[in-house]
Amino acid sequence: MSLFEPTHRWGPHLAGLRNLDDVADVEWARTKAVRIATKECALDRGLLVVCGPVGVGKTFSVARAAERCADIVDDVVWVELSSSMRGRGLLASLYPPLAGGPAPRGDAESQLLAGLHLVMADRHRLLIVDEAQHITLQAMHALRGLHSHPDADFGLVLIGTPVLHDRMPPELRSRRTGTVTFERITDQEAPKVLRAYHPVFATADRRLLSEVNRRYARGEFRWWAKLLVRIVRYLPDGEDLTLDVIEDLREGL
Amino acid sequence: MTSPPAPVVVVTEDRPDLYGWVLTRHPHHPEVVGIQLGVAERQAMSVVGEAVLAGLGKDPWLSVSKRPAELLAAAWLSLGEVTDVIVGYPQLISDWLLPDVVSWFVGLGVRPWLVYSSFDNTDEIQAKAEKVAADWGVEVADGAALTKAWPDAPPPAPELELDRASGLPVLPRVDGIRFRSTCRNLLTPDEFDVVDAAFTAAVAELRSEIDELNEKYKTRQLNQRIRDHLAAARDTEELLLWARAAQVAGLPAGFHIRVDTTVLIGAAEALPRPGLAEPQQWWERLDLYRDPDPGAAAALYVAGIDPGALPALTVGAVDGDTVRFDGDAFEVNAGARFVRALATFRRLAGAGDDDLLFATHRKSSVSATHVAGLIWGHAAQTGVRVAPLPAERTQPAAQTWLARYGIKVSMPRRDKPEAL
Repeated sequence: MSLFEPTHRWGPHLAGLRNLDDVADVEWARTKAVRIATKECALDRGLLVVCGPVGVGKTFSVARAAERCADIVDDVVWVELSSSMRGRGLLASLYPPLAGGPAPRGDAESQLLAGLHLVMADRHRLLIVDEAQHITLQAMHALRGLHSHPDADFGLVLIGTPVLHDRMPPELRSRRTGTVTFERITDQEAPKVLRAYHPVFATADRRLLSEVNRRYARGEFRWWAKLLVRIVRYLPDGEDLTLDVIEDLREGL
Repeated sequence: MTSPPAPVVVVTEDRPDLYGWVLTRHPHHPEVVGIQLGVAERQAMSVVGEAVLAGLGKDPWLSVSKRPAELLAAAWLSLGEVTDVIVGYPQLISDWLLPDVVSWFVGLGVRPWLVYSSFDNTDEIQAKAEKVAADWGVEVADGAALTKAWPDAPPPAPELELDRASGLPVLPRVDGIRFRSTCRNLLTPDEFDVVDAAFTAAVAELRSEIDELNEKYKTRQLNQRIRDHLAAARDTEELLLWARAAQVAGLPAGFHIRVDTTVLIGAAEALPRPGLAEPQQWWERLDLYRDPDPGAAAALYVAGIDPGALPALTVGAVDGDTVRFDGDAFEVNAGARFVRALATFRRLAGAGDDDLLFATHRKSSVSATHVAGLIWGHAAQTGVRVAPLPAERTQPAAQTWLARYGIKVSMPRRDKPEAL
């Protein structure tokens, strides 16, 4: 599990972007939907599920939305799960960011849950769990118990692959206040999104961007972000972005 | 003999607030506890016990011993204060465990309400509920029956807030027989009426008690009577009033009761006494513990049993609200439920009449140090001080107790009372 300052967050997989200038908070239809849904989730203490394939911009979009919510909640807590989480493990992993210290050793799962109830009642939070598809069915119930408690004062955002949607038990599905399903960026969307994303794409041919999106990116926003890092690092100044250039730079992406 | 309560099986549509609705029934209806398991893996009766303890309002981190949660929960439920328990989302309880859970509640005389909820799995949930209902020979009810049975209760009417627990104004600090006349001069007529009624009643009661004293060791007996009244004082003003009443009541009988007012006021503010239990909410605070031990130790101390004697107290010594020890019977009034819960817990854990009342999860006996920790140690966690520090193995004698409050009772005149 790792934590990131939401105000500087670009997503854990796109560390190179942090060193680039002029990267814009680009927004397209699904990103806008996430922004609105995240704000409602924070205000209404709701449960938002953001599902979609890998690399299509779920984390990016929620991170941007969380930054915008920072002033309407007391605290934005971002938790990323890196491996399968059972109930006790999940609850214990929530202690450092929420309670400010490690979980009490030897306490039963129910005791950890009760302790978190006390912690979660004192501040209005937005809790974002990334890679939530790693949460087991049993741990989902622990999360439900945490969010549904009458003293709970937080909105919960779960980000994950479509497995997440399938794994959610009815007792948690019934609590959803919003769902945003992410799809890949279409070839028609790609030029508009990318031209707003960074100046190196702004002057590129629209048909080129559509073709690269169809042929190589396959609608993965993350692929475009990684390509952007290479373009800025390796494309000489003044050289146009062409299919040949992209062919050279795309190796290994 | 009453028949065991039959479970109630309910199927209702899931809604976002159902989880919280179940958990908040206890504040609306003290006789019902709502529980949510919250744990879906490694389920066991201990998980149900933990949920019951949480539903009863116990603090998960206030624990004195690693004891089985199901036994602790059973001990608290056996007090008879809870008649119903609402089990939220029983479909999440393992099929092998659910019959045991229902039987466990029924065996304790508590009616379980199994509240199944369906969202997009109505058929599956209905089948589960009907199976349980058929096993117990009951019908499946709907959500309306549930909300009708346990509606939100109107908030309790605000209690009259008094500046002090006794309702007395700040009294003059003058000594003995000057007290009443000074009250008349200093206080408003309304305040004086309240104080005078309380004062004359106190004097009359003490005089009556003095009249009933045996001829031998009168001073010692009077010490005891005055100590009892002062110990029951709910605040400093009430304690002061009883001290002055004792001075006045003792005079006709030849008693001289000297009161160091500075020491009295200081001790009244600093030293714990049973009368502070209500205004300081001792029992409510000690009720936060999962274990009944701290409350039981405090209750037994308040009842007058020596701390050093508690490790030797047996389970059989507890007889309802009375504890018999060393030939004496001690009435455990306000905190008796803790003692009964502890005795029940020990019996559930396999103890017999001759086994010791206080024990830990490892040992069947405890040391005086352990008991001292129960009486004095929890002050740091709950703020409840039932006994002054340093820890003592015996209760102070009445004369010593009064001396700490700056009071000394003597009978310098040997004249017959009639001579006065």
